[in-house]
Amino acid sequence: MSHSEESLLDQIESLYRDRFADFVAVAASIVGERESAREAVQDAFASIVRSRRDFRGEAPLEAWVWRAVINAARKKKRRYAREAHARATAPVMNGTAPDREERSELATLVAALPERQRLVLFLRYYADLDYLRIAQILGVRTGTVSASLHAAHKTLRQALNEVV
Amino acid sequence: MNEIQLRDRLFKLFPPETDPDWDDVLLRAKTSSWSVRRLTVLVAAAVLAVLAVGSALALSGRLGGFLQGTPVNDLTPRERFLLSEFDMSGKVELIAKRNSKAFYVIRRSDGRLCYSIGEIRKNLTPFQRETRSRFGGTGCVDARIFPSRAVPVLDFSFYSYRRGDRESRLAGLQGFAADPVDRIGVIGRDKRIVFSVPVEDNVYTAGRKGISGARGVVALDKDGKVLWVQCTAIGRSPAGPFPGGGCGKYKNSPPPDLPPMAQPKKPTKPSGPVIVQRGSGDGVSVVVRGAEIEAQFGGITPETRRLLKGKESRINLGCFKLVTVGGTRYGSGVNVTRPYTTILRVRPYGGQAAPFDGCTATGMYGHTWNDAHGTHDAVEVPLTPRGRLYFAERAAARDIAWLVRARIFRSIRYAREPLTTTEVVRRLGDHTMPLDTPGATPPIGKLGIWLGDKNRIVLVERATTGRRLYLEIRRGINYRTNLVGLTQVL
Repeated sequence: MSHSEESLLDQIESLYRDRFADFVAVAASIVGERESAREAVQDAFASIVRSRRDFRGEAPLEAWVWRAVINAARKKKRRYAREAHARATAPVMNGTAPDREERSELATLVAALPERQRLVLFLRYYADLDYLRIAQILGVRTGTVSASLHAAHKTLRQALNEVV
Repeated sequence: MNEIQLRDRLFKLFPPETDPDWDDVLLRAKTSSWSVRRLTVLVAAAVLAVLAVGSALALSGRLGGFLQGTPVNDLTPRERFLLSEFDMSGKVELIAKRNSKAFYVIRRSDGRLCYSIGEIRKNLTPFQRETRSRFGGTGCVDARIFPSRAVPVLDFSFYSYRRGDRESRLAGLQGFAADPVDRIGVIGRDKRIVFSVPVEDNVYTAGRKGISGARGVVALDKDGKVLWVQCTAIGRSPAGPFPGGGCGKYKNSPPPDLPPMAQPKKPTKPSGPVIVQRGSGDGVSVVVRGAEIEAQFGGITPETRRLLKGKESRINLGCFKLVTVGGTRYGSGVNVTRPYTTILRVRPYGGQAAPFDGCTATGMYGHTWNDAHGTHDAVEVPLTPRGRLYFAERAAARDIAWLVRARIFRSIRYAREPLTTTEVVRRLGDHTMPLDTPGATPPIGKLGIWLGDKNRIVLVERATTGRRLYLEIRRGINYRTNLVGLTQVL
């Protein structure tokens, strides 16, 4: 393994350890289920480790990693949806076991958001990323990030004001 | 609902996962790739070839490159921090495991090698994994010196002497040895080899065996020929518990004959402009100019002055910078103890210089949980915004940490009969409050307590920054926490 490859592996590991909670939360916002989200993150990083030579450095490493995590979560969601369909049950957003009505209400509302809005919401408020980084990750303009966030916030605010 | 409230609710919905498993990632990366597997086989074959050539070359000239181990990729943030603090950052490889010991080599980026021996760790809680370092005795050595023909052994043995013992004892025979070394012998009190251990995979250890009156160690090749001697009985005559008078026929090996290393030129002037920082807090103003710290205590209250001066009239002044390693923030700094004066100007030993994130001054007083001094230092002067946040979070972290070490908590922590949260809160007073669930958070200023089955205790406090700090104890053992880096005492 060359020095630069080793250094890249170190950076990937460092990102993984620093942001593990954020990766799982954002993946869960896509998959709708925590355990599968964790699996998706592990799979994503395994794939990143294998294909790290493909990283060309055109975008920041973090954006590349985030994209891989999101793609892995989407893949997991498709599989999860197929299995759920087979079991004739609908996937639900399940953080921890919702021990309060408020929590399960928020979970339902977040799950009902369009995927992009949900992703932007988690990337901004959970992973604490700025608009530019979110735009790089999702491959959209910063204006789109801003608009999606505004829409998500508005939807939740309206709905939560009714239920809380 | 504002952004902060929304963020809080999202965190409630998805409490942060705290168990990343990098080994699992690496395993997945390996197992699903045939190409990687093939590469591994090729690399293994190449390593074997190199080792074979290395062994053949071992007896001629230097014995470099013989230590090849398994990369250690799961260093904790604390271990990485400690290595960086001692200027030992680099690639860590596990060379061998013997008995309960693990032998490591650390390859620094400047090519220098460091060696370390530590206890093998098993069945640790997440807290213990995070806070205990796998590295015990550690040292760095010029690669021209070890491994070499002149110095084929790097001995990490240690001696013990307790009051009442007649003589000192070699308590831990252990170290690293180059290829030609077959055994390590111990020179006994009669100046003969009284004990020896084999060298396997370039390491040796005698486990817990102690040898009284040991005078030194010798390296032997496979024919029993002495390759190297380290005699520690160097006094002229036996003096007290430590043997003297040499090791008889085993004479100390001469030091390696090497040209001195080129010393880096010391700069005659600072390489850049001297960084100046100013800040004030608790009635103290601080000016930092490079490595010099000046604190003026003119504005402190009589109570703070009394606290700082104490009986000894000496104070401890220090400044720190925050270092983030693996997502955990640690304070790394310098401090000095000086007689109290209104203006104190110091240049602490250690070489650290501005920019710092904050400075503190404390007296020679101790703390007990929930005492009148609170959990802040007597004087805290933030020099950066993150220094200010650190002080706020450290204060909340100390509240939890000091409680778990307090005498009043012992009967709760090690309770034989199950206790109720209400009973515990009654014992600890109104600074604490019961929590409904282990994931709940008390309001700022309160220390929340949740009790569960099997002596499970969760202590939670929210810092004024909004960060939730917690410590979970299971069966009396610290199990999981996010206080690491904020408090030394746990």
